Amino acid sequence: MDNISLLKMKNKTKFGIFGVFLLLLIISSFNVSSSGVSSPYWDENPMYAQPDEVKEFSYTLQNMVGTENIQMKAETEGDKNIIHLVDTNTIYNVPIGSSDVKVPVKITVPKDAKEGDEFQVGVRFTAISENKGQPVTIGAAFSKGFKVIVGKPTPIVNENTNAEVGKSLLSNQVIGFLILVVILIILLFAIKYFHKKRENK
Amino acid sequence: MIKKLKKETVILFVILLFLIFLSIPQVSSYPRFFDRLKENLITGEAPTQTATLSITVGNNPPVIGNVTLDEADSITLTENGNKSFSFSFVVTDADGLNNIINGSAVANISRTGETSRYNDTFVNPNDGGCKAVNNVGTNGKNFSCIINVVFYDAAGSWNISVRANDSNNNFAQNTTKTFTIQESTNIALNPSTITYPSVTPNQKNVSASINLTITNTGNDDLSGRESTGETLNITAITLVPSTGTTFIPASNFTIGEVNSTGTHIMDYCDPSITANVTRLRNVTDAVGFSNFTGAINGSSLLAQAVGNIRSFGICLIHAPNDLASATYSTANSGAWTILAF
Repeated sequence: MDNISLLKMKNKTKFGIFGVFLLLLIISSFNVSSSGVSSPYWDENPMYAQPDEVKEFSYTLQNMVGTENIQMKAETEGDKNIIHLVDTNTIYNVPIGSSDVKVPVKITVPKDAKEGDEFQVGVRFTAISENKGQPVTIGAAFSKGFKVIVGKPTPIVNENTNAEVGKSLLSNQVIGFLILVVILIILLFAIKYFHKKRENK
Repeated sequence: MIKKLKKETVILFVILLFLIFLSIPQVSSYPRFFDRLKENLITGEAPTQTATLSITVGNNPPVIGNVTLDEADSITLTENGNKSFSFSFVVTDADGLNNIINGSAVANISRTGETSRYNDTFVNPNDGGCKAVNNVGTNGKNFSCIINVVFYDAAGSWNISVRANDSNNNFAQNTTKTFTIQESTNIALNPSTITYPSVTPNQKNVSASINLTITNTGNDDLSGRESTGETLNITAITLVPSTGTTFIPASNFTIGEVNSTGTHIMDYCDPSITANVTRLRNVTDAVGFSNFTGAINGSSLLAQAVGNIRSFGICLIHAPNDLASATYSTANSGAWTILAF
């Protein structure tokens, strides 16, 4: 192999390495980290419970958009005497494409709690970011808090129930009755008018 | 003579009034008869309503029983996608199950302030409607419905409305069932690592090689307003080398919206534009090693199909004078975090 061929081969190798490096850089640049938490309770939808009552529910972790598996660490927030994570291992694997990783949580209302007492509780989920050799690694975190209110919820009147259908029917009947009464009165006046006219003749 | 006439008129009036009372329930049983009166749908032309009314009176209308959800209430949406929400209901008709029209069963879900979602062939012929899946006794049919719920449909209580017809044009409707959509707080970060070109000590306003795009892929409005408690926050950690004592404090960085409008002049390196740019420095920070946790100014990311994406630039506004030659990163100090409430 002559020197020129050797030089060309070296250059090819250099370009190849550079190409791979560039490709890795591009791939690493397009890593998407995506995650989320669903909760049956939130600021506008508090939990209602009675003194000494224990309630369990689950947060749901998702990773539907991301390009990498993630791990999320769960930590309770707020009144930590009230809220507890059920699992002993509080780091959850959330693989790509998963939408139903459950994080069970237990709420224990104190015995001596009084009607109307409120406790602010929640769980913070933090994505555990792995070191990718880049200057700044950015991960996501979610804080999902809500109130536990001692007592019963105020009943909400459903705007779209059969009750309204019933009311609507009633008003329809009243409208129909009124229309027919008006027709009847007009009819009576007409009869009277023609009767008088006939008498005058 | 006049007295007799008056008496006759009164008797006639009373008899007519009595007849009216008797006739009203029959007339009002015709579906939406008086609604049609109110909506001026009766024009005097082609009096088909009269024909329908005469059939209706002699026929048993269908009845819709309870609506049953196919999954536990409340429901979780799917991040950045649609979720098939399914439920079923039984329609019975005293005239026999064959009197219930299979293709007539339709449904929708609604909530005040939100776009209703349908599986209703009368609204959209391609919807398909609810499917008759099995017979229930001799008078009933079980219908199964699927409605697509979108990832940004608001959290809270939603109403389910189902309807079915029989072959005599009688219809039944049930609007009593509600269900709850859970609140889903989801964000996508692209990319998940930020790189910088080489910098020299005392260099100013160095932008990251790539902007950070944040997408709201859930149904929680990240309003960017601290009053609602639903901002996007950032925790930034000082960058340090693997060995050595020099560092780049978080307070030397700014983050700001790239495509913002208004007073923003697209310069996310300018911390004086407080509406859209945040300097990653706590007010009480002493000069030196510094981390930051706080809201990203102007980081409104509403839960919606369009306009749920924001692009943020991260700027190194000043490289410290004393920086030794090394790679400074979060690897030895801790990753930055975008926190959504």
